[in-house]
Amino acid sequence: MAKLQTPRSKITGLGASGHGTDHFLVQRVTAICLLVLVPFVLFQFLAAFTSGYDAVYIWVGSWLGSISLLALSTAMFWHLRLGLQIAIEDYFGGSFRMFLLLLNFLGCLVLWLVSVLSVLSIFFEG
Amino acid sequence: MSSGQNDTRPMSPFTTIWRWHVTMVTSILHRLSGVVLAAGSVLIALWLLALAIGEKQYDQLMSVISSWPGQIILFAFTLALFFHLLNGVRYLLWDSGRGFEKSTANLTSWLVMGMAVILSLALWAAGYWMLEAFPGQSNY
Repeated sequence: MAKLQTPRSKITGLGASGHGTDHFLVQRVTAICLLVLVPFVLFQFLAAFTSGYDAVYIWVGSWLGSISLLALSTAMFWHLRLGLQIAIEDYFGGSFRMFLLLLNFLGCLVLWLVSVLSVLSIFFEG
Repeated sequence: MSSGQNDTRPMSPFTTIWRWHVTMVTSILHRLSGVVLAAGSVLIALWLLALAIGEKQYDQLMSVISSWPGQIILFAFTLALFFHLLNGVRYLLWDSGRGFEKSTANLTSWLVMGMAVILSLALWAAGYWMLEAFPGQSNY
């Protein structure tokens, strides 16, 4: 059977299987978002953190605070997952690589969900 | 990659046989700072969670962060953040086909490392100044 396969069909679906450019592009798009969001959020954080819990809570619960923190955590954990994926693929092999890739994916997903739910709960409560 | 011990073909060169140069340092630091920031992102998620849960949990987390070891770790995160952010701009410029000249790449390497240190110190100076100017109601 295998001999009837064309060389093309043997490799179709292997490797990046059409997602290679996605990875590259999303990494860049999230990078550009973070280039704007990180200084923006740092600036707001600096203005609020010295005044203690209530002031920080009000900032995170405000429209500006919520939206910038939701955008930040989304871009950040997405960018993080893609970057860490490359590092894992470079240094590990076999089933341990698969384990780490899965851990990376699920870990980023959980941390993103925790961040988003925290911000949303403050937004709707405050 | 060589196929076995008897394979005499040269391996891909690595850090052990390369003369260290500055663009190599920034390349390694970019990956290293990225991994460091992955750990830092856990702190951001925890910080938001503590804020959502309540004042007691938030103050507990803030007192851990504002301890001396906590502040050293946070400063390391700040350095990693600014380095990764600034060096990321170099990558974006390379993607547009700019900045590949050897002299330019060397210069921007030094520039990015210097600026990362300066911006980190500036941010922390601003933070400490804010604490002096607006002490607020908390004791950290």
